[in-house]
Amino acid sequence: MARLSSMLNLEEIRRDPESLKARLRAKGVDSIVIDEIVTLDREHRRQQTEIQNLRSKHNAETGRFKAHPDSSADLAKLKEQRDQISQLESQARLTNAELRARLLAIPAPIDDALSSDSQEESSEATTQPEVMAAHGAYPRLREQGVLLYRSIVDHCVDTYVNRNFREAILPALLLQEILTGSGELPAMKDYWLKCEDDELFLAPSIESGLASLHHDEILAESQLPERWVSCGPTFNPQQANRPLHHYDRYLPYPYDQVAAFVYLKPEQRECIVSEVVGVLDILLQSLELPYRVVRIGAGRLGFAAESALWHEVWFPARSAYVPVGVTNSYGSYQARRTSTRFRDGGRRAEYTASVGQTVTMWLLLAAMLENHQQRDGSVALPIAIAERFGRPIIGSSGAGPQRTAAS
Amino acid sequence: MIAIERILANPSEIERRLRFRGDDTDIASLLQLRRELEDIEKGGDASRATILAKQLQAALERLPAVPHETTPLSTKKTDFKIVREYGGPRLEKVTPSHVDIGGRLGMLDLRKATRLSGNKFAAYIGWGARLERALITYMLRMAANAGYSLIAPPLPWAGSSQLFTAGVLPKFADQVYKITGSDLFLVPTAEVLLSSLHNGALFDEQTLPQKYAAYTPCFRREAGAARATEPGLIRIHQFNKVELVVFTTPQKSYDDLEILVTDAERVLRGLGLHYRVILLPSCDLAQQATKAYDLQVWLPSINDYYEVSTCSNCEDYQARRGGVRVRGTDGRVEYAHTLNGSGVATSRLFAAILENNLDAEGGVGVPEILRSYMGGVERIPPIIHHPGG
Repeated sequence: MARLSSMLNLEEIRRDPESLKARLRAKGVDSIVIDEIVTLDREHRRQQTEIQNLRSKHNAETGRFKAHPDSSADLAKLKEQRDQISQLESQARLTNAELRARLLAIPAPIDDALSSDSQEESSEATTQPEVMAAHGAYPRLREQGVLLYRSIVDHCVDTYVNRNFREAILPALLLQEILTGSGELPAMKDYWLKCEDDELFLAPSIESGLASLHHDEILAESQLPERWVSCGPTFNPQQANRPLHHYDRYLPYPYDQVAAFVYLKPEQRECIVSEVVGVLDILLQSLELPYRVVRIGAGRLGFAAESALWHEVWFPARSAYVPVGVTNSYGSYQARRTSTRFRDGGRRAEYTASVGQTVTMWLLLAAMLENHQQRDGSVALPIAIAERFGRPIIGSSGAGPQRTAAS
Repeated sequence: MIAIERILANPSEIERRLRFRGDDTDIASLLQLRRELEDIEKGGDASRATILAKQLQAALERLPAVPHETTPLSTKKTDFKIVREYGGPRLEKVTPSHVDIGGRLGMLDLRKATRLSGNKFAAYIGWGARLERALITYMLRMAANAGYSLIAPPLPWAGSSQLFTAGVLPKFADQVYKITGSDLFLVPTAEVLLSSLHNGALFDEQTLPQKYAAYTPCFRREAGAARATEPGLIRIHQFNKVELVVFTTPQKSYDDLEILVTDAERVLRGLGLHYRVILLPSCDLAQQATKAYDLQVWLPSINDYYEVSTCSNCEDYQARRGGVRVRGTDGRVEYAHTLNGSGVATSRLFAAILENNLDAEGGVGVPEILRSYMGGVERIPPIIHHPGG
């Protein structure tokens, strides 16, 4: 925590606070908060300057005293100066701590390209759904449902792995500083689930761990972009306090999440966003699911994101598109919090940028069952899944257990 | 939970057997409590009776299961009985440990895991993650093929009543991660989810055995640092496991235990690992078990066998807590028996594969049966250059 650097770029706040205010307004941050930060920053810099001035004065007088050490009056004055300096220094430390705390609590400003008043969402690509009647959803998987689910998870992760994403399986319990780095803390400290006795938080997202793989590191420029993919359970308080049958079954909370995460140079952002969006396109197409990609309005962005795209799949039973995948661009927001930088040769180290994408495995399974159900109640699997699962159809008469995924 | 009637039938023998599993409960005072309760119930002091009944219940709940007559009675963990050994050649030469091999091949990063979560966590990277995932899918398929019904819970957590049924609570509350502000715990094993699957059920004898398997990540606090010196993946706070649970009748439970052991063994045989099956002595039994076998794989770097699965008969210990009963063909109703075993835990299996399959050039051979889950790769090659740690 001690080495945590500022999250918003202070330079940017000093240079153009008004534009920053506008970009943060969409995330519900009041302008006053920025004004306070500007004031604190000014105060901190004033203290620094004063300390510096006092120090040079003190040094000069110490020099004079050393040349004529017999003057006792000067000695008392020097001591007074030293006390004054240390007093000022401790004040400056307090101001700095306050400033850091304020900065940590501020979400990432939205991307310049997003108009801050646009709550509207624009639809970018759409494939037409084939609407079919289908039954609802199923909190506990069983029998063939479990193997089908594993097939989907394996297919999904391998889709990334085959495109040069490096796989990682990370712990589901994370230290506080890791969630601070990814942006989930401190703002929502009382929200996330934790094991207080062990001072560990339950991962609210698979991205949280991926965002901290290079805490306090300086990467070589040639290392970027560095692509990761991971799969595991994620924990959301909305599930913990509600009985199973009260789930909104179209929420992405139960079961596993697959997350892709890319460390990159800030100028690679556009290119990487379209790359990861493209991988998810390929994945959904391989599952033969009707979907659309939606650019998210500023009001619905996550805390650490400056822009986001949602992949929404059609769910016939609900007659609606439901987001199954989210692609977030974090700019250098997370890198500043985790102090992840890169350097090219002798140049000054710069903060990396990051792009993350999460896909909800539960919803992919649900979408598969709803969209590929046949008239006789069986489910015809897309080729990519049938190959792994070992059968092209699930739940048809005479082909194994009738119970597929319901319990 | 032991039935009080069973204790009454032969208190000294029960106490003797419990001593051999390290339980020092004074059975005489427990029975004294029971007599007092009976007297007061006759006298009609209802509130006093409730208090005593609670005390008696609590004392009974803390008692471990009574070891079966075939379980070696001993207070020494080394008094196990080797039942059989199996497998390819047992590598006698000392190889580098799985930590070194995994680190060198970029498959395992314990340093990063520590950074994320503290000590004794693991991060599987690159081929390591793929191997781990392949093991999970492989083991689930093996369980399905052996006739187990697969179950996948939405999340690896369970409520306190489920942990109670399994026998984890109340005694081992300090070994599980409790989620603050809720009644939920991260599961130490999927057994806690499966063993309470039929709480309150009454089975007809002919419908048993019913066999279940589930994969979950498992979380253990491992409080008490006595084993803190074990290297790498041997004992970690979070690991992956496929758990097998069987509901059966009192008449068949010991036969079904033998079948359960062979089902778990099949996983190890498929991977070509050298292993042995041992019968545990009474002192090494889990709280709820009356008889248990350990499956142990050979780890060349430690030059010893390590447990990857414990297959236990819990008799009616869990069934009493969960109220699971069975009606015989003659109409008699009694508590069912439950069995459980890992099929198996991946972390030590991962270690065993790395250490046993290391080749002369520093690569690791992928067991044939896993290749189809890993894009057909036969061998994980040594890394020439791997950016990004």
